[in-house]
Amino acid sequence: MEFSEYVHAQHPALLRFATVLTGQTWLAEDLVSDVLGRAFERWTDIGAMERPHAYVRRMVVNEHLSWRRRRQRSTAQAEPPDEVIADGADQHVEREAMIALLARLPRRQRAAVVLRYYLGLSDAEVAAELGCRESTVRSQIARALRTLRIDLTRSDSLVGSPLETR
Amino acid sequence: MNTLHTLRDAFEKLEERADAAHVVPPDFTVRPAGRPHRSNLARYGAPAAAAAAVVAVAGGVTLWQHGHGGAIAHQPAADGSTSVAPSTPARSTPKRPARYVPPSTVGQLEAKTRAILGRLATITVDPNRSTDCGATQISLPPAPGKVTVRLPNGATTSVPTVPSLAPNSDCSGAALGGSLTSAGRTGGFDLDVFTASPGSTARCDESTTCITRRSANGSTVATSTWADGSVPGGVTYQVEVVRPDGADVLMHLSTETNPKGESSVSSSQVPLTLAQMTTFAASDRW
Repeated sequence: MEFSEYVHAQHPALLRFATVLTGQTWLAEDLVSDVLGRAFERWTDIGAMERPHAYVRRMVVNEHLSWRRRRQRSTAQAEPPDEVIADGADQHVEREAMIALLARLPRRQRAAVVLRYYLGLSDAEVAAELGCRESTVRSQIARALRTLRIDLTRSDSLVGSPLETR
Repeated sequence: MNTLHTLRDAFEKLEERADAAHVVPPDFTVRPAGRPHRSNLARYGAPAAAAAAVVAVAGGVTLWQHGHGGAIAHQPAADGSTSVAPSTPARSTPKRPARYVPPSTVGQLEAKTRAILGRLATITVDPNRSTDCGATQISLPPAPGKVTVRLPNGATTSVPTVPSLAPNSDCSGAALGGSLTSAGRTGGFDLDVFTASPGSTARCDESTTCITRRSANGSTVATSTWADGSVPGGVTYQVEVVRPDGADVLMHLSTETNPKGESSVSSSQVPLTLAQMTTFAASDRW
């Protein structure tokens, strides 16, 4: 696959993924454009891979977790609201509260949650993406879910299916 | 308590925001991938019709649209087809006539840098951290579409186009890396001077402080300070000035030998103040 083909085909998906990962559209732009810059330089190798998009997406995750990305302005700017009680009419408020809670997560926890529940990766796959052990992934996700105030016992198992097509 | 449904809703909302914020293909500029400390800026210009192009700045990338730079200008028609306008040079030539022309070699950039610094500071350029090709502009082909052509009998018809997938590339600007000495203090620096994408503004990278402002002449200025958490005393200043004509001057200067950090401390203070760096970067002599 040519680089330009890849950009045309996957740029929107990369931006969505990066926005979910970072919570901020401008930072997603930043990440994706940086990563595409590096991917272009190495496209001979990446383009020949069986799943170049998975590789580039991993580059996005790594770049997000990179020390170079530890910008103060990318941290949560506001405290999330108090816990919102769902009553069926407050979906918007709930969703915004969840986005705010996501912003509070440490990067690796957030990355683990996004890889697990947005991409639908298994713990083993998340561990491979993040370069850590499965037990670490499980503990990070457990901590993240506590912060997000998510009760798995009340969650439909179907919602664990990935949003993004892998 | 929340459920995974709420989390999924949040993800979907973020996806919507991504889609709303980005019209693809966009313009964007990425800073050098290997550029010390700088974590690569991305700037989106005003999205236009069809195609994009890439500019890699010492390893970074800028996406341009052909509409900005010339090449083949595809004019959208009411039926979604396009007609081909007369070709202009393939390089991403600025739309506005007064676009900035940056130094194109290390030698030129070094000479300008020394001239502008004057007696304020001296520099030692490290050839391994400097490059003649500060920016590579790569033009992505336009997206597949239709072209309206006029037949010999005067009728018109639409034919599908399959763009060449081979990107064109060219260079913009130059980059220096090395050490800078002022008032007896020496620190590592890097300097990029190139032509930014239309609409770009100065931005900070990872920093503990960040100040952005717009000058009276329309330039945007960003200054920031980054404390290297892994090196006691390691501090790097960043200044970026982006002029309305596209001139982008970006400088990092550190107490360490490498402004990226994780190197040895060579001075207790950054050799220049942020104000001095800003004056340097904002010089009209660039």
